[in-house]
Amino acid sequence: MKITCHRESLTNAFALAASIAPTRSPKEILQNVKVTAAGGKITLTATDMEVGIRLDLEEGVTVETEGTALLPVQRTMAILRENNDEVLEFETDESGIRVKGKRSKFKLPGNDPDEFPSVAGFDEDKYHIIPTRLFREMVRRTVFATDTDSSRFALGGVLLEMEEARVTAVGTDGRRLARMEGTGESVGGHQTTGASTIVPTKAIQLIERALNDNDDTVDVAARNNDLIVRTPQAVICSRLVEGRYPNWRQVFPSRENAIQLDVTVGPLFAALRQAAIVTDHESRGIDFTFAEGTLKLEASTAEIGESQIEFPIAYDGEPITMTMDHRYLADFCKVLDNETSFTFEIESGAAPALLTTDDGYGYVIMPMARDR
Amino acid sequence: MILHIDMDAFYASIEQRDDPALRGMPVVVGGAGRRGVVAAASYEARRYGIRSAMSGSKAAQLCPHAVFVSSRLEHYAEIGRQVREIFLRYTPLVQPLSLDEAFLDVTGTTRLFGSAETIGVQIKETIKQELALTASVGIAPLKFVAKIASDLNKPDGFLKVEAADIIDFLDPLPVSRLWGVGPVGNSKLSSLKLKTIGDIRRYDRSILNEKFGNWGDHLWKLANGIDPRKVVPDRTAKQISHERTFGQDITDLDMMRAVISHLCEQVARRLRRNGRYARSVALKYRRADFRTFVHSRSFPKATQSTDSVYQMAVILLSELREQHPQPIRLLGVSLGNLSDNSVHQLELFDDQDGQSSQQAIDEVVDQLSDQIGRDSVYRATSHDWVIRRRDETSGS
Repeated sequence: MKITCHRESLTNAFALAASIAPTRSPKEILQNVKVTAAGGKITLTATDMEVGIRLDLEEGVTVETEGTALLPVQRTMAILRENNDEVLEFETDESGIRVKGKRSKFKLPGNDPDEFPSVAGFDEDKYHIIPTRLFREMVRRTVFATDTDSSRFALGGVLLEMEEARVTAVGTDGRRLARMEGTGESVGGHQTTGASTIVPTKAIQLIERALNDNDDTVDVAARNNDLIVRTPQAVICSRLVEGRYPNWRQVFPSRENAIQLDVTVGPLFAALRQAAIVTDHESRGIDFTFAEGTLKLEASTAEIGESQIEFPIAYDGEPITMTMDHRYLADFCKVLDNETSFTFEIESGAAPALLTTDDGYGYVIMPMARDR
Repeated sequence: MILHIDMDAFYASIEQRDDPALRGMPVVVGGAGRRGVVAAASYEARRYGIRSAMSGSKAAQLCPHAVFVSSRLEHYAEIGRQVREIFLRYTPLVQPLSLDEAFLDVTGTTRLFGSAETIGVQIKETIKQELALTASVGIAPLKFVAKIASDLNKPDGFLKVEAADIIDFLDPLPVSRLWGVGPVGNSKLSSLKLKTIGDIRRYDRSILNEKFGNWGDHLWKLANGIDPRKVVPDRTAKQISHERTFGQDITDLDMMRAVISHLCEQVARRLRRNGRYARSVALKYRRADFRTFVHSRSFPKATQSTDSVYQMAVILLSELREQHPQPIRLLGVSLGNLSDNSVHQLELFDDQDGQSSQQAIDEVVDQLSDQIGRDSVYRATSHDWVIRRRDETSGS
């Protein structure tokens, strides 16, 4: 194989592929990015066996001799970053890989590219077309609520549901639940079945990072055991979590007589952070008392102290107190802009709170209860 | 000052108190039937060499005219509560060791009730008058000295050891008087020609440490009158622990699991009884050569559940077993990072990880144990150990 590449465009593509390659693995070969030069372009592939990525690069690439090579992630990345040349040349021979710039030469050992695991391409004729921005929000707003430590493995991933024009992502740890939905377009009658398209938390974070806001849409196909995502530059696939997702719709509140209040993220988050100053890992509960005109946040921890923060609110009913883990509310605030307003729905101290925005985001928090 | 109060032949004395026909007779509680084990023996029966934990048949051999009565644990537990109630009149710092034995720290209450001696005498008198039972009292500035003192003049004993007299008091006593020295420990110590506590006191601390690890160091400290342990009532305890030394060293992992299971049942029950929650569990693991290791781990959230404690303890056990595959002589389970945080997080989905059914099991088992005695109901995972312990004690 012999190719010359425009250094900057290769660096961008290589960095993306490198983000999938594991930094440490018992399978050392995975710490490489595979380069395949054929038909006037190069294809970079990388995988950690859970997630795989496939990137095509044509711009700024000249293929002199077709072939394949394995580029060790760390060293290659360092060369690409430290070098100043506009163009770099990569050539393989029996002894390894030679990288040549204007006034620099490197030689790296070459492993056998045929031993590198293959990474699936996107050959689907059934898939969903989803706006990139929406897909990223779906991931960002749900992935934090997953629970990778749970003995219920299904909770260690984000559930994707795709039916006709509706696409939904759900993440939960069993104590709070985040759901983001939006509109996509089904191609070839693509839809997910049951609640089994659960993408591992780490994998969907890698996928989200690999997406580019400059691309209008991504293509997403759910198969039996994996999920494949296609962007104009890349194909990323991930294994799915085995297991059934709990029936989340059943616990998602749909209430008629609950109290709904309009709240802006920034001021509430500020009040929450203050109230949480006197919490610790033992006692994370903050009492939220909704009373006439005021929401009062109170926390009290033995040997640490007490806090009481008031917050104006458009409420005029009977006082309601509910205790919530401050982290759960903070997580919600963190994924939204400070100016975002949302509806804070409560019913009683023992019923879940429901927080919704008008762009399809819903977040349920189970309260804490006092024993006996 | 610390008081150690120990009821004299508690179960047997209660039987003799309740049935005048039994007074002055060699009374054996439990031990009826072929496989029965003696739960307690009156002083008259002890004269024949009958001891608790002996098999009933052996007891009958030693003293053919002994009167066997079946044990009424619930009744004893009730009277144990009455005894404890008397203790609590004199100090809130009561640390029960069992139904019939407790440490009391009276340092803070001597202005109210008089000297430690006065309090000791009053408690003895009160128990005699209100319950018609006798207790032995040991008084000392250190817990383990108070315990030895209460034991020396049993029954109906009363002994006070002043701070200045501790060394003179301990020196001539045999090493087996020290807490944590059983028959095996005894023979280990005699291999170094250490027969009395004074021998240990004069011995080189670093050699003890080298030969027996923490255990050796601990003994040296006790022999030198160093015992910083305080009287800790369960309610404010920093940890709740149980441990068990085996008559014969154990090598079988399944048996160790059963021991752990049984210990977990006991610590978790005490935890619940005191309305507290644990955030971590520690496993104490002593090899046959007395090297002792402790591993601990935290729960994702504070728990009261026997099952959660057991699951975690078993993980710790496997780790320790892998590192130290030698025979072991002691296992202990202790719960730490205790809180009485009664606020708990509700779940979205019903019965996550079977939590609510575990809670129901714990409640039922606690109730049953209160009513019919601690070992009458236990988890199947504890079974092998409960049976072996019975055999072990009846065979000795």
